[in-house]
Amino acid sequence: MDNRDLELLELKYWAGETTLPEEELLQRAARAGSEGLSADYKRLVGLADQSREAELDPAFEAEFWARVEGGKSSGARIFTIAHFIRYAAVGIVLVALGLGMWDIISEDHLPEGQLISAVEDTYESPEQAFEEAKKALLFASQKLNKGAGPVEEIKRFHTTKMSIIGQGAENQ
Amino acid sequence: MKIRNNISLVILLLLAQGISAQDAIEKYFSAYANDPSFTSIVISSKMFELFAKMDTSDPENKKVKEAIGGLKGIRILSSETAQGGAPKNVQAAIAKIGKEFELLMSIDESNEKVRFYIREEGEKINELLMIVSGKEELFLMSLTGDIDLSKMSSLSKNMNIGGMNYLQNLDKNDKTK
Amino acid sequence: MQQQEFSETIMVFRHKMYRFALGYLKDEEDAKDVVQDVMIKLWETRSELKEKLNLEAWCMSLTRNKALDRIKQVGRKRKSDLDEVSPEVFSHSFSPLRVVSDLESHAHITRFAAALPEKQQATFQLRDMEGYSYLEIGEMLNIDINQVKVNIFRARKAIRENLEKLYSYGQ
Repeated sequence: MDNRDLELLELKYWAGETTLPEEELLQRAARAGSEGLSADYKRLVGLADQSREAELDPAFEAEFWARVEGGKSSGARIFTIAHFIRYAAVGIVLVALGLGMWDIISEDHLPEGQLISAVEDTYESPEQAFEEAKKALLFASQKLNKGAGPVEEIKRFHTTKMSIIGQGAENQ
Repeated sequence: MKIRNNISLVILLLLAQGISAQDAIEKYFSAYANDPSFTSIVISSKMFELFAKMDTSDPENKKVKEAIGGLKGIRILSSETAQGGAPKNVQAAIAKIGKEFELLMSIDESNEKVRFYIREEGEKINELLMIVSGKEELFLMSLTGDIDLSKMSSLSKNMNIGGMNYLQNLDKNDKTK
Repeated sequence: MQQQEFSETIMVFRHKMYRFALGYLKDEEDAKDVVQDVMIKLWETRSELKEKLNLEAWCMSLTRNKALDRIKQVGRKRKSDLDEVSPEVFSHSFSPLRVVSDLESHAHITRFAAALPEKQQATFQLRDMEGYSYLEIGEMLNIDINQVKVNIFRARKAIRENLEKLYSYGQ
């Protein structure tokens, strides 16, 4: 399959018209770095390949049978939506995408917790920036506290809507 | 545990889903960052990394450092609106806040209104958006990273700094363009 | 069906089910829980499984339902907190925030609007990551084959646009 053929096939792909064998062909070509294919497509295949590596750990099946034999009534399955461990990682991804400062997965590897900032800092020195950050945060903090007591109840996992209408302001 | 693969999956699916909600806020900040009638302040993740390394003997600063521990960025947009109302395009941009952002708190007073929005992933808050709208000003601040609301609120409780003048000083001093 | 057979015919799908659940829940522990729960259900109904024409599709379909349920549970919990505050409180506001306050009621209603393109996401994942046929995908998502085609087209289009956006920052 020459580059021209691949190009055409890729167009078919984006149009949703390819068959499974055709897609497999495209994927193989993408992994081989074929020039007939677009960078976008190659990236997509790369991401898909990486995602496909996610697997359950080997103990999964054993745990399952243990649970079956233990009788489901016995183990009230430990309900854990608890610690979204990976949310640190996911949060970073989302934050990065949101801030638009994303220099994706360069050749290999996304170092967890590291963002590449393409935006210009307003301040050159960390000391200045720190002072500004401090002021801004204090300001936000004070406003937060205007919600007085209820702020204590804003626990990490809850969102509470509150409204404080002060000093005979705009009433409905 | 394959973190990297999880991230790939998320990226892939986000791409499929569309990242428009986050884009909107980002576009909004970017659009007005260079507008002379707005004061724009950006403190990036690189800066935050530097903060972590800074020496802080000052106990107050120590508290601040602790509170900002998880943060990755601050963006501020502030403007004086002489006509007593935000320009229409600003309203439109604010209208783009939605979906992922949930209203946390609102404070309405005679001279200003404050809204806090948060964006959560599971149990973590990864963005706090604060909008203050007064008769003559409009102020937006976005904090991103791992946000700890209780730390943030305790920050001002333990300090006696007159942060309330922040807005006024902001517009006067920092028209850094 | 004995354990051995279950192991050989059903357990083998666990990784795909896991990835599928992960796509919805975006958390490893949670996705693992979902697969466990689905496996339990499959075990409990093992005598009926003979009748299923496509066992794999059935497993994936159950996984999807469980994952969606899981998401809804979390959502319901949130919503009840918000319901306590009367919406009228927010309906007044002067100009700049009028728009914002209209959105307040949107905030929790549309919280899971992100779920709207769920079928697109799912279709994409099932096709471009796991390599299922359109027919199978239709079974798993409970949609007809034409809808599968439309979804795959839209999903790929969206991905392409977003890829371009993301990568253009580098330039």
